[in-house]
Amino acid sequence: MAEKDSLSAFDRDTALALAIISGGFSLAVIVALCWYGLAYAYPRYLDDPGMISLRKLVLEHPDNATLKELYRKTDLLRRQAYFEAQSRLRSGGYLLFGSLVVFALSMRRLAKLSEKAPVPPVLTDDSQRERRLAAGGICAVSALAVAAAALILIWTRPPAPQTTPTEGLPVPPLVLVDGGEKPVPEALRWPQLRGTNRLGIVEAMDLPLSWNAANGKNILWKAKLPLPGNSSPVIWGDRVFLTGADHEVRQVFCLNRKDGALLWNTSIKTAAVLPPDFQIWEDTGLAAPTPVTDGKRIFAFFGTNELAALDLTGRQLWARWFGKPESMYGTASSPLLYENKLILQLDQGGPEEGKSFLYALDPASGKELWKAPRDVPSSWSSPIIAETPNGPELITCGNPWVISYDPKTGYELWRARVLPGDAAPLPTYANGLVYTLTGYTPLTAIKTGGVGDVTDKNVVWTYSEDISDVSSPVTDGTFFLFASSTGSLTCLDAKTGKLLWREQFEASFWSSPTLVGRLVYLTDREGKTYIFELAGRYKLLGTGELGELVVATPAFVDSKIYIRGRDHLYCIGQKDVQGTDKH
Amino acid sequence: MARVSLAILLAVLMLPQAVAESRVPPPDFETGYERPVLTFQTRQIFAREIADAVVLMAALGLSASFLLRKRSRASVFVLGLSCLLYLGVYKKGCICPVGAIQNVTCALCRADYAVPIVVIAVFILPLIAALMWGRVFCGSVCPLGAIQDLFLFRPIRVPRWLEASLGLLRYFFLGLAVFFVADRSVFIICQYDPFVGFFRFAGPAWKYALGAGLLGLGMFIGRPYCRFLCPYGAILSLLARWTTSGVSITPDECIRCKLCDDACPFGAILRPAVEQRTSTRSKILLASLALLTLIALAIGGYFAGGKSVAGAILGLWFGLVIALKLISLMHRRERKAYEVDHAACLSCGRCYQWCPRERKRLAAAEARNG
Repeated sequence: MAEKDSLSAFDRDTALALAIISGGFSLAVIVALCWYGLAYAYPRYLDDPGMISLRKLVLEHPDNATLKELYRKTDLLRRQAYFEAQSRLRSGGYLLFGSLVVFALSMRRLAKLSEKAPVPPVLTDDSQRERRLAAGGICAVSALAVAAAALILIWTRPPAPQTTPTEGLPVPPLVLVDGGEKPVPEALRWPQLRGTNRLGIVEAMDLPLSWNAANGKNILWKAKLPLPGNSSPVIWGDRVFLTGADHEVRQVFCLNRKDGALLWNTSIKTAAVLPPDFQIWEDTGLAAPTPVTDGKRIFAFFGTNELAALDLTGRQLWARWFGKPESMYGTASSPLLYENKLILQLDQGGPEEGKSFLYALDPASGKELWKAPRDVPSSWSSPIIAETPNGPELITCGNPWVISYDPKTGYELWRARVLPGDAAPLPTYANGLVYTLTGYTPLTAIKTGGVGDVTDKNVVWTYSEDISDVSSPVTDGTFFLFASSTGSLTCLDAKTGKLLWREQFEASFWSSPTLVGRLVYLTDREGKTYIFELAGRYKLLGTGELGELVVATPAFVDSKIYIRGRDHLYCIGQKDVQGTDKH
Repeated sequence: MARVSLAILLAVLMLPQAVAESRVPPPDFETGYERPVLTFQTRQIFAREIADAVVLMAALGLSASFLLRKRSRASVFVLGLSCLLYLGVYKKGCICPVGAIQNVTCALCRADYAVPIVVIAVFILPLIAALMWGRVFCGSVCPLGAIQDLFLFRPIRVPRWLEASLGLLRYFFLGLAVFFVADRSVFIICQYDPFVGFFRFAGPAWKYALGAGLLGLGMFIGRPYCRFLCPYGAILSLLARWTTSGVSITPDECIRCKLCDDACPFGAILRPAVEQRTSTRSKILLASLALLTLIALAIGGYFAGGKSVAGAILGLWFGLVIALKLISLMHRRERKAYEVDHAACLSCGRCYQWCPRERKRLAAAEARNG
């Protein structure tokens, strides 16, 4: 008996000692993790004043190599520290988990050793009272739950269409510059980002091979823009449409294509209520999405998640607000028009937050025709329509999925897991292949068709070097060309992914290349345009200089190029000997 | 006190990791980092998923065997711990019938959503097991239940009326979860899974706080998530009512010693009772009240959900749950012995340990086996 008691005491002492040691160890790990996590593991790249001012200095002194090197080293060190901290935190987490398990088991053992036999409850016949109490409790819990559920439903309700009435809004004077009702020929249309087909391909035209804004060579006109923005110009007949925004207003402006005169600018009115702490990523701004027009209306989307439809005289027809934007680098997705549907890819928040959707809206009213939820986080890409042998497919890029939808119904057709990164460039399509890319992720050619996840079936080739993170690619089905923000320009065989040539420039490309006939026009951030043939070898044919920051993609209409710089819109075309427009 | 402190510390502990989840923007320039070669999903992964479903099936079978044949609480506990480590920590909580409710709902509501066959299997297997043997999944297979069981040190009794009231919450949560999937394609069961952060060592701070809070509460109140919040538990409860070969406190005759009543930390023992019937007048009154509640909640749900049919159905579900629960109070069938309430029983086997008939039976069996 005594031996049993001493064994039991030994057992209790051991369990107690284990509980104390593992509890103490857990506590120490907790303190260490808290301190370490708070001190090292928080990424401060975006709001660190030191990095911001250093970055500013680098941008102000672009030729200062020492500053650049310092910035790179500092950035690299911070990144290394961050990931090292992450790794240590994870190891600490495992240690803690183990020690807590030991703690829980020893505490259980202690509880077991001091366990008392159950005591038979004294039962009284109070069933009536218990029933009354239960009924009361059920009613109270139910009432609270119903109230809470109602609040949750109301609180989480997606924003309803916020159509802003046109009454009371200023009506701009009607300015008809192309005869009003006269149909606009195809050659005078650039209705959306990257042209009619959104692939950055246009018929050959008589364009200059050089220009210079400093001496006016081949610059037909230059117009100061009312507000900043990174959206690209859109053209319909003799009107050029652009958007601009700041924290106060979001505007659509219309310029006369002939001379750059401002015809109207309309500040859109929506039900948007932005929180006071709403911030934007400076490089993206609030007017990065390019508007789209069907020749009767212009549809503009902004980084505030405001979407507005205006008629060609600048009168607002309707507007919608999609709630507070939740995207780290701002919003850049451009709306698309397809068979009387206005399609908007709005990817926000995290992949499981349920905030990303693909919308199809009625262009006449802004009402929803269909809405497809997307299990992807924030993205900055825009959808395209691929006219495949199986019919039209709506191709979208997000992290990590390239998803194809039926544009008529919004039903998902297939998806491929090939974009494990921040998706920004547009996909492109040629000869049954969809091409997708984004920085730090291989470029992938995917055969269209199939159902469900086609990753292991439809990927035809991949390519991993110098992939573009902002600029979109262009392909004619034979050659595949893309330019990166690090200044590389790469041409691959579009069918096999084999490298044909690669050029490195002292430049950074955000703007996307456009194929005009056989010539490629590609503008860098400094406003220098490189003109070369899309062929198996790189040969520069000419350059144009604007001397102004360019991130938008130019429009090509009527043998003229329309390039948006930071502050101006330029019209470039052949000048005759008298210095007037040759065309 | 030490246990409460542990719960608080757990919440504090995970804060830095949660904060550290923020994304890191790519650098503005090239680095020496070499990108790993992209790999694609292969058939092997599908085979692994099938294997996971087989593991789940095996675990359910073992759980039933330990509980109903071997009648061993220790074996049930060890199996629970193994499942916690495998399904929870190793698989990161992702062979999850609880979350599969949403996939199945999504597949039923959306024509373009294809639910993998493995997910359907993971959803259905524990339901079949519940029909056959009671809630054996909750007993020792579910990692969410196992982690709570691990931290149950000194259980206290929850009054029966409170147990009945709070037990409704899981049905409400089930309704909300289905509504959010059907109407908004949001998976709230996964979003608000309190323990998945512990399994993955990642997640927002509030999730760790919720998990730590439930574990802290669970030191004294047995498995609060399973009893009051788990939406899958709600479905299992409904099915387990119909089981014919579930847990019995003892295979022998009950001597009404009342010990099991105190031994069960989950309030799953039904006491002997005399039959109770309700007058026709009360029945009519209650039925009218239930009908009114149903109509009111359906209309309320329709408007609260933004004039959506899904909102109206959710309101109906809430009304139905409340009405049925109130109606169940009006009627009580006769019981001569202590019985297991299969709807509430979490198949832990604790009641075996204290039943004198069971102890005697086990001792005799042990003696027979030498």
